[in-house]
Amino acid sequence: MDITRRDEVTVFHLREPRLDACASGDFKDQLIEWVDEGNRRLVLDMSEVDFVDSSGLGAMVSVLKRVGLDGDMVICGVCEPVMRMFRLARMDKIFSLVTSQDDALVAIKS
Amino acid sequence: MTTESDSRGVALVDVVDDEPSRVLIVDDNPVNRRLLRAMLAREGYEIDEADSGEAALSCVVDVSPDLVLLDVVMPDVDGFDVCSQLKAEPLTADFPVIFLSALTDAADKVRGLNLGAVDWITKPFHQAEVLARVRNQLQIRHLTRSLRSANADLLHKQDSLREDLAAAADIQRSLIPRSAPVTHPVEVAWRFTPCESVGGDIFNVLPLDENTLSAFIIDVSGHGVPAAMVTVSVMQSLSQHAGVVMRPPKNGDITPPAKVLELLDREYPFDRFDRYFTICYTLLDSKTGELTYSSAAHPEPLLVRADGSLERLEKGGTIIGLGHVVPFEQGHAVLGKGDRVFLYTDGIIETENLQGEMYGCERLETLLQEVAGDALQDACEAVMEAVAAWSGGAPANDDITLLAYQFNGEDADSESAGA
Repeated sequence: MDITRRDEVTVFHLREPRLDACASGDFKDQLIEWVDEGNRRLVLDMSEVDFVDSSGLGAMVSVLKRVGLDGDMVICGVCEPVMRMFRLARMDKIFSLVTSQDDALVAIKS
Repeated sequence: MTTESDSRGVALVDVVDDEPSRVLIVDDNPVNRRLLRAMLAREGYEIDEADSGEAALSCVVDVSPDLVLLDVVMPDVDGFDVCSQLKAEPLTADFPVIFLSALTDAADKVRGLNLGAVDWITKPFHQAEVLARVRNQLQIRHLTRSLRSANADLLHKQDSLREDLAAAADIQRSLIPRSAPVTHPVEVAWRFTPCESVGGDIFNVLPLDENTLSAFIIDVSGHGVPAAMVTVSVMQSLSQHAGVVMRPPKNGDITPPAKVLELLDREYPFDRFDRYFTICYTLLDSKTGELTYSSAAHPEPLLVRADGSLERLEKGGTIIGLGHVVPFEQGHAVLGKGDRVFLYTDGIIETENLQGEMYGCERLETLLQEVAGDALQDACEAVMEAVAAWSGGAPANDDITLLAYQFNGEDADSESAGA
């Protein structure tokens, strides 16, 4: 996972193709640590992820909850198979989903 | 082995190590034997002597030495013979041998070491050198023995863990139906294959009253024991008298599927067990064929009509445990005679072939339509075979569960009675 700062926003670029039971623990711990340090505006670039399971979704929701109402999390670059999983789990109703990182930076609440 | 020795396995090895090491001196020259004995006894070792190769071979099993100091040149059976015979016999092969010899030719040393000796000391020897080499070998010997003993201990523990897991697997299997309910004009079939002994999948088929059959399938994130324990807890919650599927105060009102999922979502917030689960819950009226259902992020159940047409049952909501972030929708369908519903866990569609491609929904749907005319049991078997063939024999890395039922209509009982 690459972490970059763009203005006041932290961009997490996931480099592993699978966000599953094996990967989601580390993912969650890392992001929550980041959020707890006061970074509450996050962009999650998932353009390289081609598989997410229920543990992965759970981890994403945990992070979203941690971000809280005064923060925002926008997800970009979700491929079709992962999007199908998101729709199945109604994540499309919970997450802000956009196409590109640039769109995400525009979409994120200031 | 008793529990006490179990928990102190390593300590016991230390006790063994505190006993004095036994050294067997094999030399036909009494002066050499006396010299070595005096030197080693001062170090606290227990000494045994043999004055020939034959004597050494006949006493070695009784002595059971931690180390053999072996002269090479002896009449009749020489040191090389003794060493090769020791190494050939399983009872004595482990005794470490150090050759002690006036032979200085490199070829002799190589021969001795190739026979299995651990070291070679040239005579005339220096006392300090002998002691240092003996000490080294005894240390190695003791470390090897502790390691072996710790290993045996671990194997024993592993065995008992394996037995526990097998028992857990039996318990988990006892939760699923033993046989299909016979009181309903509904035929039921299933396949249940956890990828380890126990797993995170579970299902049940449960008549709630004379007309209503509930059927559900659950997939807890992760596998193995923690996931399996959660399945046990959820099964308990979904039993008839736990207040979820039938609502108190009078256990007679059957809870609609979306409400069941809402209650589970409240009862299993994800931080309770640090586990999530997906579920598909269906209720079938066995008189009218009316089906109500709701899924929590579970792969959509498939409705295969008797004529082979297929519908995805898409209504539902998100994963159980997220705290009601979106409401659960409830779906409705009416089954005609011969129509089937298939509930399954993602282990089926996420099985990968050798190229890493998943089996996928579409293949499953096509197959179920192809086998629509076969008996329900055979249709389930066809799915399992297709998934096994897809994986190319690779062991499954997820639990696989398939639950299917077929509505045979109200007159099914009389028909089967007449058949």
